Amino acid sequence: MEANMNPTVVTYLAYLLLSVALTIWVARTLFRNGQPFLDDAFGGEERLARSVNHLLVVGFYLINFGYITLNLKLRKEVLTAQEAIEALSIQVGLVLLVLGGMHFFNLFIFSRIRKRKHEVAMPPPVSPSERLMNMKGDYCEPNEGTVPDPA
Amino acid sequence: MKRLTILHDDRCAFCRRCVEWLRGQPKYLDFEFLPLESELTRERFPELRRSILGGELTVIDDEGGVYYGNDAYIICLYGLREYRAISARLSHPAVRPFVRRALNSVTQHRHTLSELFERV
Repeated sequence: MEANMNPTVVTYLAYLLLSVALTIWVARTLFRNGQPFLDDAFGGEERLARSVNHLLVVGFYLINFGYITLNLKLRKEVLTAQEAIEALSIQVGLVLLVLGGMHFFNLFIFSRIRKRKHEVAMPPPVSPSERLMNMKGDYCEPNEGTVPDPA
Repeated sequence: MKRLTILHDDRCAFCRRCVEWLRGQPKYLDFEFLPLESELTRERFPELRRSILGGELTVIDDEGGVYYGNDAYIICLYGLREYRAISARLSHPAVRPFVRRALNSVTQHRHTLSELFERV
C-alpha cells in the first residue's frame, strides 16, 4: 500500500478531492440561488420550479463529474512535489473553467425561462394611431405557424 | 389583442418577401395578410382613408386599432414569439427616434430594396 502512494497517485487523489468539492459547492450555490429565479419564472408554481431546479442541478453534476473523470490522467509522470503542484494546478484550473462555463450557461437558462414568462404577458409596445369603428367581413386565412398562447 | 391584419404593398417584391418570412415564424397572435390596394381591403375596412394608404405598411388589430409605417413593423414583431422582446427594445424611448427613421427609410426605399432582392 505504502509503495503505491507515489507522487502521481497523491496528485490524483488531491485532484479528485479538490474538483469534487468545488463541483459540489458550485452546484449547491446554483441550486440555492437559482430557486427564486425559477419561482418567478413559473409564476409561483413552487413544485414545478423545484423540480426544474433539481433536474438542472443533476445535469450540472453529471457534466462536471464526467469532465473531472475524463480529465484525471496526467500528461506526464510526476516525480517531485513541484511537479505535483504544477500538474494539479493545470488540472484543477481546467475544471474551474468548465465549472465557470457551466455556471454561466445555467444562469443563461434561468434568465431565458424568466424572460419568456414576462414576454407572454407583455402589453403591445406601440399604441394605435387611430381606431376603426366598423370592420366588415371575417378573418378567414389559416395560420399554420400559430402556436397557442401558453398563458 | 388576438389577431393582426397586415395590409402590405403587394407590388413590391421586398414586401412580399417580408410577408413570406412572417408566415413562417412562430406566433403569439394570428396573422392575416391582405394587399393594400384591393377590393377586399376597401370592403373590409371602409373607414381606412385612401389618403393614408400611400403604400406604407398598415396593420389593423382585432379591436380596430390601426398602426402605420414604423409602428406597424413593431407591432408585427410583437406578434412573433421569437421577436417580442426585440419589439420592446425597439420601442424604448431612447432608441425610438432612430428606429423610426430607419424604418421610415425602409418604407421609402422599398422599391430599391425590391430591385436588389430580384437581382440576387
